[in-house]
Amino acid sequence: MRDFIIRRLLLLIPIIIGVSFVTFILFRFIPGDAAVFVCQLQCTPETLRDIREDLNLNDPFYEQYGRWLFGLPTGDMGTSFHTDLEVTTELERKYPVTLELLVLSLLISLLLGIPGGILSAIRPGSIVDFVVRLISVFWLSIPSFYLAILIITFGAAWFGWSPANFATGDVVTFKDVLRGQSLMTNLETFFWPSVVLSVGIAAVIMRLTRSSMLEVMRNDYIRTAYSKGLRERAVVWRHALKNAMIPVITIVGLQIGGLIGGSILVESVFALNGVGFYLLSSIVLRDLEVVQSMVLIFALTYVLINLIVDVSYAWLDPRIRYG
Amino acid sequence: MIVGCGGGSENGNDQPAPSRPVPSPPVPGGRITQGRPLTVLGIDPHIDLTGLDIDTLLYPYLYGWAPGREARIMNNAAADIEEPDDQSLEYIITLKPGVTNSPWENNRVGGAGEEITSEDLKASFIRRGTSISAPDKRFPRKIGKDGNAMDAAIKTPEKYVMSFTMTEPFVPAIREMANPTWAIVSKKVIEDTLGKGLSQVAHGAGPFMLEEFRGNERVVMNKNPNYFIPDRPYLDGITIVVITENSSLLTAFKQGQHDVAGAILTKEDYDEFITDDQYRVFTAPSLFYPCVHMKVIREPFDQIKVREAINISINRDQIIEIIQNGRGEYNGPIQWAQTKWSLPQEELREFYKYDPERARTLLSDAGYPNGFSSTMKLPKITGVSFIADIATLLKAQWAEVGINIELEEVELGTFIGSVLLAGNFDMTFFPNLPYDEPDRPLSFYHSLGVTGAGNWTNYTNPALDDLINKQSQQFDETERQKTILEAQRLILNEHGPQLTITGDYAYSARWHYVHFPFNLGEDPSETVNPNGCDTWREQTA
Repeated sequence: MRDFIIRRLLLLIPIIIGVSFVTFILFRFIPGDAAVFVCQLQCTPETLRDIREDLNLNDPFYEQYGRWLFGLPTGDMGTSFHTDLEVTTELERKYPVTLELLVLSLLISLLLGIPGGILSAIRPGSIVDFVVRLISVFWLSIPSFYLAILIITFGAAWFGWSPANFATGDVVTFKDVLRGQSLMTNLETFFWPSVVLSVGIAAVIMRLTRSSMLEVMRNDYIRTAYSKGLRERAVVWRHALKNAMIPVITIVGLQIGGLIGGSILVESVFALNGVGFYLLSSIVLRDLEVVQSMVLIFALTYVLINLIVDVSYAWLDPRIRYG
Repeated sequence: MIVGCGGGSENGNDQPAPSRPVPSPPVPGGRITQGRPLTVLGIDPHIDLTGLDIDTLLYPYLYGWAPGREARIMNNAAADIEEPDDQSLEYIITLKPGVTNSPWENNRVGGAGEEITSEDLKASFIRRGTSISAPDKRFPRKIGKDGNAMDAAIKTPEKYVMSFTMTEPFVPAIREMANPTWAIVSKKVIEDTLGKGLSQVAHGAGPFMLEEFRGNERVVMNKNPNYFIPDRPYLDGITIVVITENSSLLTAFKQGQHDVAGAILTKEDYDEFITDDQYRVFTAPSLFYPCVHMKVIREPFDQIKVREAINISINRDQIIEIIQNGRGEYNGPIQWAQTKWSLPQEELREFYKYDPERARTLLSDAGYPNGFSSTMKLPKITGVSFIADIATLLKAQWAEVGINIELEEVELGTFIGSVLLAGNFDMTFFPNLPYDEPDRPLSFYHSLGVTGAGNWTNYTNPALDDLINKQSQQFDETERQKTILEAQRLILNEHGPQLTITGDYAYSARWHYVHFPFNLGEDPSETVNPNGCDTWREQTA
């Protein structure tokens, strides 16, 4: 297992190089120019040339890319063309926001999806099964962006609620809670955005858990367990669930990409000012070093969460060995 | 929205006044929070256009401006403005002593706490006038065509006196100098903040000083302790919170998280707020004016008949009905809200009469009996949906006469760089900025454009150039008005290169406890102080 983890961590190096290089190359092909945003509406070819020179955009692409890449080991991810702020400084502020949003969303989707799927599977065809399936279809079909707007609009109209960060633009993250800020404010800020982000994935988890559980529940060893006189709860939790979870966990790993993509929209509606919103605005501003660094951070997050998923296979099924 | 500025009568022009009494006198202290839908790209007053409302809080200006009266208000750094000759070629500007920069801790930038002098004013004029990316150069080019010429033309005979003589008369000069882009910045600050300059920082002598600037999150400003007007500003600070989703922004205001609404309000919102005396709501004609721009050197837009067909197949009444909730007027080349300079509504409504039959005939006469296809590019701006809404309606209207337009929404950065500046479009659609003086909207039709480098549409018309030049030198208002109307009629008959659509109304709202010296659509009084100074809030126990 240790060798497996080390190998996977070493794989991060080609991933970093691959992802950043592809982002760098693709960014050169899309229309638009960072220099235009620096000089804005009335800029002339001469200004553009000067600004490009100032931002080193006229350097050969391998020099630009190399400069950024070799800065990484020292923690230097470059500087925003637009704000002159160091990317790492911004990342320190914004990554905790996105990370908390992703982790909470994942937790909520698991908490909603797995019990829902189990309930549905152990009583197939019942009213509970019908309701769970109906809910999952509803959750799958509602766009997260729309749900976010509904929550904000009706949350305010019916319950007088709106995200605490709307007042100041300042987001209280879990990191701030550890430094003494209010946990309630933190949860108030993150709970609904996380719910919005999680329902789509919860629905997928719910449906997959149901089908996987149904499959497992038909196995002989489950029948044997019942015939030994074990109670349903023991059969489900001790014998069926672990085996049913392997495909579910695989899907959870793959859904992280969807969560990351969804976080960009949700951060925008809930004004969360995390990495997602930062990436979006930097793409619009053609802020290359920021975009490259943020894409890299998302890629690393995706890979690391999937590493945890892979490691969890061994816990779920001891027969699985990583050689 | 600009704190402390606005227009329209309280709670609208046609609505009853609120029952809640307005307390007096103003109470100093407290902060206000204001929402904002658009990211602030930068706050360099001489360059950035997206942060001009913030610049007016951070920097001093020569004087204020009352657009309705078209008169200056001597409420800022200038003690006196002399125009010795009857053509207003020469200006002698005397600054007030004691206009002092705010304190700042950045040792690399000089000038903290120092007094603004004529040298600072001169440096600001040259920077604003010659900065390659400055938004308009018609006025500074009359002082000097480049930095050296401006440097030679602007004199500073005394510590507080600056003078210059223009090469030819320019009537809008007096309005230009009160424009938010003509901020006075200390010479030391200009010299010490080279490169990206003042885009993300501010070192000024305005009523407020910058505490934090994060253009896509928030802008925090605190009262300037060195401000030259005693006991002003009333407020201890202003926080601007950027939320790019309009419904979120509206919710933040309704929930009391923002004291001043930043959302783009509609008539529906206005109608909702007007019934609640917790709010103060205002409405006034909007000076923003959406335009279709055509590249007139390309087929088929090089034919007047085609442009006319495009023009008269626009059902402007339908746009007012659907997009503007039934409230709006027709715009000519100059927006209808610039009342005395715009063409009469009856004339515009008759000229722009929706006539799809005639449009088909014109297309047929122009050699396009089956219509034609083209692409119209429009900018995609987060938080602003009305551009795409109007464009979609236009597309549907044109399709009825056989003009098949494909809409291509382009990210703002790409739009500016690869569409507008590169001249890479057949048709494009976006709203022009809210100019309150007739010279600027007209100069878009001038062969030299607003920067002296040409216009986007490649339109040239020497007769029109002459009229535009002529009006900019006519001090007799009646004569100038005649010339401006004549120029507009000439433009109308050309059916391009800009086709103006309809003019909407602007709406603003704030909580009852926030008080501005004047409101949206109203003219500021003679005694009003610079932007933000007279804004105050009732204190809660």
